[in-house]
Amino acid sequence: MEITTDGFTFDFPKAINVFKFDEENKALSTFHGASHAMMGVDIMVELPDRYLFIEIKNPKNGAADYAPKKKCKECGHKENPTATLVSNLTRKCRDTWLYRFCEDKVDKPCHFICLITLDDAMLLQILTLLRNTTPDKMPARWKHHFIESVSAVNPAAWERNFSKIYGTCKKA
Amino acid sequence: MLTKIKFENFTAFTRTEIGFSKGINILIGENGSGKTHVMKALYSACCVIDEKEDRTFDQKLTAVFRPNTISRLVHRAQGRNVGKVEVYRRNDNDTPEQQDRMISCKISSAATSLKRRWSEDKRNPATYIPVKDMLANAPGFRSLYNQKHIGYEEIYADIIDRALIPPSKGKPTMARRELLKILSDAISGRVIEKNETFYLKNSSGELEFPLLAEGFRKLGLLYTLIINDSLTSGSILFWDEPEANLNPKLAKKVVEVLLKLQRMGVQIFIATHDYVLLKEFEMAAETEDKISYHSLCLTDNGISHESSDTLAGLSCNPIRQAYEDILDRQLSNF
Repeated sequence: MEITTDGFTFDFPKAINVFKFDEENKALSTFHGASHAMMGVDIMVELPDRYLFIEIKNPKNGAADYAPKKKCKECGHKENPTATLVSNLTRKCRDTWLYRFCEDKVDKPCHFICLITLDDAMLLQILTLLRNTTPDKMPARWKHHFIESVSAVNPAAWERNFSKIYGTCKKA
Repeated sequence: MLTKIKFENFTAFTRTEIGFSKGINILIGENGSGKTHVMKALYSACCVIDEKEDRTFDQKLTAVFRPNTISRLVHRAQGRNVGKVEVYRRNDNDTPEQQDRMISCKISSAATSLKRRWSEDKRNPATYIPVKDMLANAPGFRSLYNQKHIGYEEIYADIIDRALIPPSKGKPTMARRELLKILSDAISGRVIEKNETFYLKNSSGELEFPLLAEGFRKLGLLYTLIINDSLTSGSILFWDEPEANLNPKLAKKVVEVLLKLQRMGVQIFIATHDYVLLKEFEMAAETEDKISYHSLCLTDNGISHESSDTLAGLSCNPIRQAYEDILDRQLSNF
């Protein structure tokens, strides 16, 4: 199944369903309908054994997402662009999971993948910060799984790590 | 300016030719890929026409590389025992029709032959900053080096000689004042020298260099070289691993200074293993800046070489490959 969005074409040969998660077209059955209140990732992929939440970020295009907007309460300084980006991605992931929970669609493990057009060294920094926002082990009180894994990749890292297991990602 | 170097069976190289930018030349490559050898060979050639140098190319090569004998610089292989290095340069006022001027040294176990077509009318003062700081060791080093056989390559004695040149007379130009301000802000003071001992001087007093962080000593050396006019238009700077002992936060300052020096007409050669330094160059360089990236790659057939105006244009980049490897291991570990 193919989908093209935000400058990339993905092909997931084993997918059961692939759709634009933050769909704004009311006429479509995949219309999001809560985007005034909740954020959402760009693409939802249902595979036989898992869901993929895919968010695409091109820092050269979406400067607004990374511009410091508020002061952090503890330090009194403006948040840096990296912290703003990570906080934006974290909210998208959590809101998407909550939305899917309300749809009763978290019956398989959910994996969050950020496709970001940065080099590997900068991705490492973002990946470390992003993983700190998601528990890597289920707390004892939880009865339900949350996000199984968080990844940050650029197109080359996608090709190396995901093309064989999920499918391909190419510039549109 | 230096335009080209050619190696034939010289140290790690079998047959390599590298063309240079008149601005900044950044050499990357794994350990043992020959980055420092390129810079040392170029520096040795530049020194031959220095006004205070009375030795020949082969003698300077021997002092800078410090092999047991000069024939050790030949890349040994079956059936080969002759090595050669050629360095090419141009003067600013050379016409496009004029050929680059070449100096060469051919080395064999039996003899060494030299060809020299470098005119002495236009000198390019050359400065080589080695990986290790030497300013803290400056007191007495020169007389020790001149009188005894000690195991230091000559680049270490040369940099102390350069740093001990007294400050130039007169008011510094605006461009030099800007450079000195960047450096003095970074090290919180200015550098002075008394009886071959270097000090950082600021409102708290004078701090001798051995008590100063090694990263600051590096910036202090740069300050000294600017204030004594070692780095002016037409001069050549070689800097081996500027990142050594330097906190990555200071890389931005180093790159700012190097870009400004290049805009003033200094030709610069850097060997580096540092991602942060490369990234700072990528982000701070303006369209008119002349930067060339040169990658030396270890292959089964020896050392291969490629050059590009952009870092992304290099297919062999071991720094990028190292991060790629860490990212992939991180991705598979959650």
